[in-house]
Amino acid sequence: MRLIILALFGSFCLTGKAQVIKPFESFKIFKSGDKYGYQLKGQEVIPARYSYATQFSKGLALVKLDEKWGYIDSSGNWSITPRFDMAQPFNGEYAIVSKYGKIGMIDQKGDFVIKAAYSNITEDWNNYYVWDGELQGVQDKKSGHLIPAKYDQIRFQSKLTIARMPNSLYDIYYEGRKIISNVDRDIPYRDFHRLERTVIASQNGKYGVFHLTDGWIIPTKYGKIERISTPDYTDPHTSKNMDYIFVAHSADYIRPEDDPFWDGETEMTDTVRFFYSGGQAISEISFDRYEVREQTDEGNFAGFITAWKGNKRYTSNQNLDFEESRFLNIISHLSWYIGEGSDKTIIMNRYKFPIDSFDLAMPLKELYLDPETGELWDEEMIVGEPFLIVHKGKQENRKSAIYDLVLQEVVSPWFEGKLWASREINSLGQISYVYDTDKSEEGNKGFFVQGMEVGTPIQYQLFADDQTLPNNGRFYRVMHNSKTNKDDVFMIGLKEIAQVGSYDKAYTSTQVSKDSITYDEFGEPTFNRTNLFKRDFVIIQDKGKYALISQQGQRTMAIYDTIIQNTHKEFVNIKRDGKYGLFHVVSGKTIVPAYDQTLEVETTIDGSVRIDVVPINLENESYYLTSEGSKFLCGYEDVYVEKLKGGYGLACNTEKAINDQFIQAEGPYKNLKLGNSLNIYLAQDKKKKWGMIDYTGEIVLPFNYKRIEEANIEIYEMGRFYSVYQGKKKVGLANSKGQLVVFPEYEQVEQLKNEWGDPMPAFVVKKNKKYGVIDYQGHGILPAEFEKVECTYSDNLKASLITGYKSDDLIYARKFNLETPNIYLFPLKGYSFVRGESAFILNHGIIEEYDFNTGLLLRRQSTEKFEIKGEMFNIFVEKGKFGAINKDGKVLVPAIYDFAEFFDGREEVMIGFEKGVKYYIYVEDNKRYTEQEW
Amino acid sequence: MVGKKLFFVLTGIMMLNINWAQKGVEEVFPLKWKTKIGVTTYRTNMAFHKGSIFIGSNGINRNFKIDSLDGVFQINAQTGAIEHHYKVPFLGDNDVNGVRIANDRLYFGTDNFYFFCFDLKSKQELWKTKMPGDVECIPQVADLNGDKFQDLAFPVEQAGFYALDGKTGEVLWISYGISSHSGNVSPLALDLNKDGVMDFVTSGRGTPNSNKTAGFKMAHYGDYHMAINGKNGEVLWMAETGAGVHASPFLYKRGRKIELLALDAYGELRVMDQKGQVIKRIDFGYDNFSSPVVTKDEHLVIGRGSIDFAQKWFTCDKEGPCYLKKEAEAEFPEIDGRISATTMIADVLNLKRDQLVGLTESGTLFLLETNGKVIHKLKFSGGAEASAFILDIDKDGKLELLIADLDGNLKCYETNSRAKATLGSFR
Repeated sequence: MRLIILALFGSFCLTGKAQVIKPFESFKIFKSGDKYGYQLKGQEVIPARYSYATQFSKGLALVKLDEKWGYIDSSGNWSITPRFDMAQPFNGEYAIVSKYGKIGMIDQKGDFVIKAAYSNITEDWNNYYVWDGELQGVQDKKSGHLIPAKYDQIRFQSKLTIARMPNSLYDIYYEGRKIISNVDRDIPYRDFHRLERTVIASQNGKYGVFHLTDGWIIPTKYGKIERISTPDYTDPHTSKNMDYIFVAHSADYIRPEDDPFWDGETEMTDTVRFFYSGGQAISEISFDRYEVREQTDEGNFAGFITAWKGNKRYTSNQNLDFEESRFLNIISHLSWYIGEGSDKTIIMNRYKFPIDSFDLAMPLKELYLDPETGELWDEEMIVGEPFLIVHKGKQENRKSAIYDLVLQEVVSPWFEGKLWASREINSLGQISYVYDTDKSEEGNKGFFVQGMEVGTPIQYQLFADDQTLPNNGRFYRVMHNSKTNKDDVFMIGLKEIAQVGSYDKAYTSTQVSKDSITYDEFGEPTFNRTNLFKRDFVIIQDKGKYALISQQGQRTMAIYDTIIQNTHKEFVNIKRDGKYGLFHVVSGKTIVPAYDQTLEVETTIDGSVRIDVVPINLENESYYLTSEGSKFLCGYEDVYVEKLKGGYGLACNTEKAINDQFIQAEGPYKNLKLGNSLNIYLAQDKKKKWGMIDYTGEIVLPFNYKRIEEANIEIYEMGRFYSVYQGKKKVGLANSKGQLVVFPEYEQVEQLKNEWGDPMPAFVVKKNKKYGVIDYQGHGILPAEFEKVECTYSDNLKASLITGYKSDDLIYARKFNLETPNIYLFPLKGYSFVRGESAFILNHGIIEEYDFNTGLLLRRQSTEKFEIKGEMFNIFVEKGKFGAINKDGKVLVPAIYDFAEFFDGREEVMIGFEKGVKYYIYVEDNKRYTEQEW
Repeated sequence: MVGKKLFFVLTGIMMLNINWAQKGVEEVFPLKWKTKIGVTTYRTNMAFHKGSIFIGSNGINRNFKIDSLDGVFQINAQTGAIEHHYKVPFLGDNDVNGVRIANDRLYFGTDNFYFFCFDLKSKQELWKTKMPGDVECIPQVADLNGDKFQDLAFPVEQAGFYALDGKTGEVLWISYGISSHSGNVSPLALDLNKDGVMDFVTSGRGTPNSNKTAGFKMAHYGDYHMAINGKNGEVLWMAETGAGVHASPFLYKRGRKIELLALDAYGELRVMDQKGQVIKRIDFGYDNFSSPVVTKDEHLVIGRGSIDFAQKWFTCDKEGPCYLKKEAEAEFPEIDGRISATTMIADVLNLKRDQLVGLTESGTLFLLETNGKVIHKLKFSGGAEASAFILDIDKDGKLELLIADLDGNLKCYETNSRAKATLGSFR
């Protein structure tokens, strides 16, 4: 239908047919002698008696008779008698006239709308400017408000008119009414707030605050006044009785003449006063200095103020109630904060609304365990947002858990004792946080992992053991499992934990022990880690033999008798049957033990590695070494799957491998096949678990899955995704780099499509027959709890509207730019309807409007009458019915509809519902069409 | 690609930081006379008729409703004396921009919704016609109704394209296919449909026709280059531009072929044939307002920019239009100030070859070789929006150079050149 309309519309416009019509009044001017009259079709209709005549316009013709100008109607009668020295034909509603050397303006009745008192008149879209020589005034075209012509400069700022007199002082007008005289500085943009109705202005060099209704609410006696605004003021429609805050400085702040970039700061002694007003009530609190602790990007006040008087610190809430503060801590940009009450720590949202309370709550910080004292060392770096560590109980009975600020609930078991975090960076440079814990209430120990990406669910692994090895291994946790009497080795991925295996004994390469404490010359203790080896990797002891796991998860067979640190930090010596070889801990490549002495590795000047051995047994072994051997990797296009000793591995298909350590000595995999790009291989380990390795052999997705297969999901620039299965029905998604973006906990994962059926860079997930949405980076947009989810996609520049529906008739929606994801952390709400950047909740005669981008409540008012902003027109609601109104407030479509919405892509059309029938309404002429007619 | 090349040329010149000594115009061209006429605009032209210069004025102030300098000045070409001031006898914003002399009559429109005809001998008003909007451009003339008398054709601001009987001022036809975005574009006249009556090529804003975009341009604004049948006002063809048009089209004869050159506000120059088919496209980029012209040695000039326009520099797809090759020679010299005036082509320096003669709104008269190389950058007081006028107006055998200075004066400068101007006036 849309296409048909466009086609018709287009062809109509292109026709552009000429029309031979005359749009003017048909009377023609004729001249007889030196007099003018009017004819119609050659017949005289108004006799030639005028010394000048103009054509009829607006039903009137300007004519001149006896040196005076007036206006006649089509009968030749005077509509406006000839009384002007000069005049203008009517081109519109008004005409310029001149009398006694001054000009003014009349309407079509001849009444003056601007008195004939000026030397000239100019105009723009909104105003007439009246001139008296060089001085000007202004008359508003709509309201008729006149500002007299006595100013040498006039400018407009919102509803203020700022007029400069020849003496360089200013008069300030508001809606045509003079409100302040003799202001000595212009009013900068920031110093007038239309919604607050306040102006910061200066007289005689001192600043005060003028309220449009109440007059001077802060007298003009301060050196400087600053405004602190709250985000509530950003909504132009709110009728809320707003509060505002000003900070007045006693010291004079005079801009240095020679410093145009002066920012208002001086070294002068100052006292600041806060003025708070709710209506007319003003309180004044004086402090020595202050700090606004929380501001939005626009500089609005969104948090609280800390102020000092002497050595006491006071903290305010948004209402500027100051209290002497004991403890208050903000959790970064989320604007949650924790207030310490008398015996509880209260977690509050940004509005200071209490959400929960605990005996103690604190931001997660990076902590280290002191092996000597068992104390945690606080690194003062907040990690793990949006999580808190919360405590219940006191001292020795204290229990700890992790609290999710977004979900507003405790998300971990309660643990006895402490909980601490450390930051891990994996081989891809991705950061995750690992939380080590003491024993849980059930007697378990364990640890958590949380991806750096906000919105990643926290996962934790519990262990029925109390003998965790103290360790600081970077990529592994080794936990002793007393049930099996084995050491379990876990690899920490970006968003998950994978068990690598269970062994008789496992060590991380760096460990902390009592022996590592040394004392310096002043007797101060220093805690040194015992570096068994210089790089992080895991040594496994199994059945009396040793094996190694590299940083990237590559593992040797447990066949070595001894493992010894090499002088080169990237290598360890391995010994088997009296022969020595090498293991490269970064890549996991092995040089099979075949040498009588340990191999010396040295780094050459150019950074390459030189190993001074000669190649042996070239035909039978899968590696190559030369005395000139330098390290470089085989290109991905050269790599292929090869059946090696013990299973499948990767081999290099080029002579370049002569210098490469890439080729694996043993095949670690039961199955190995190329993925959908040349970089990634799907691999199945000996335990029949699937994972993913890259072309260098590095594990990119740990071996934790029952099945991995290509999904029918492709995202531009991200490539094709893989479905990863855990158990029979649990499916998730990995991207083409092998990164897990959807944890395998869903029944179904499909690509999200917009209303036109175009695939979007996000996924619809299904869990327990409910649907949710996750973006391509793994951000949860909608949780899987909806009957249906939808995506409305406007264009590349606008955020998509992701909507979920439940059975409660509410719309659960988020605006989300899928192309450049950025998670919004305000709780998901059910809205009644959504328009543009706003979402609305209608409830018992009250409407609340929320800003989609911030989650902030923009306004709350009665539904008796309100407007919803659109591009070309606004939808207005009156007594519960919907209509359309133009930007000037003219009603275009009366409020008769039970509900109305904008028509995306057709800005001139409103969709209205009346008694269950859907109408398409052209708002300009209020013509409407049913669905069928449309 | 062309834009990129031009950018590099421009950047290169800026990096060289050439400090051209800025002489005054009078150091090169002696001032012959100057006459106070008020301010002019980029739509203003000058007409020379029987020893007089005719020029419209926007008065002391373009916005004044009563302004003693509004109207058209007839100025003695020898002395600069005002011979007559054609004034509108009633009040209003009687600014005049384009003027046309034909049939021994003076024709002009105003910002006060009227189009006037004055007799040049008696100086009397012969007729006037009420228009539905401002008439901003230079009216085009041709005999449209076969009475051997020149008629008028012009766009009216936001109200269509009008043809008036040159004798009586009666409306011959109105073409509503175009409303003329701001009434800026002065139409071209040529017989496109070979019916013996001149047709008109113009540009402007029609009715918005869709919600589509044309690349980064908004096609739905309904901007077109178009041709209108001079006989009846029917649209002969329309070519959607996707951007507003302020520059007037230029007619270029390449051998026996006629090419129509038109520039839109996004700087896209289209070379069209007489059927409106686009033959070539060149992207000049933003901030180009003056009309395109072509020199005898085949340089396409817009404002200060000169591009070698020879056919060899174009590469053509089988079906699509031709594009300028990236190695095409182009020069965009560094000249401060916006250029609205159309660059004229004449040998004002008596070098026995043409120069480009352009004006900036900030008061520079620039003289360039046709390939864009700078010869002179000369300072004058107020700047100019109106194009320069070059003609031997005092019949001394040497060209005069006239500049409507924004300081309110029309200035006539002497040159030492006996050449004939290749392009001496705008329309």
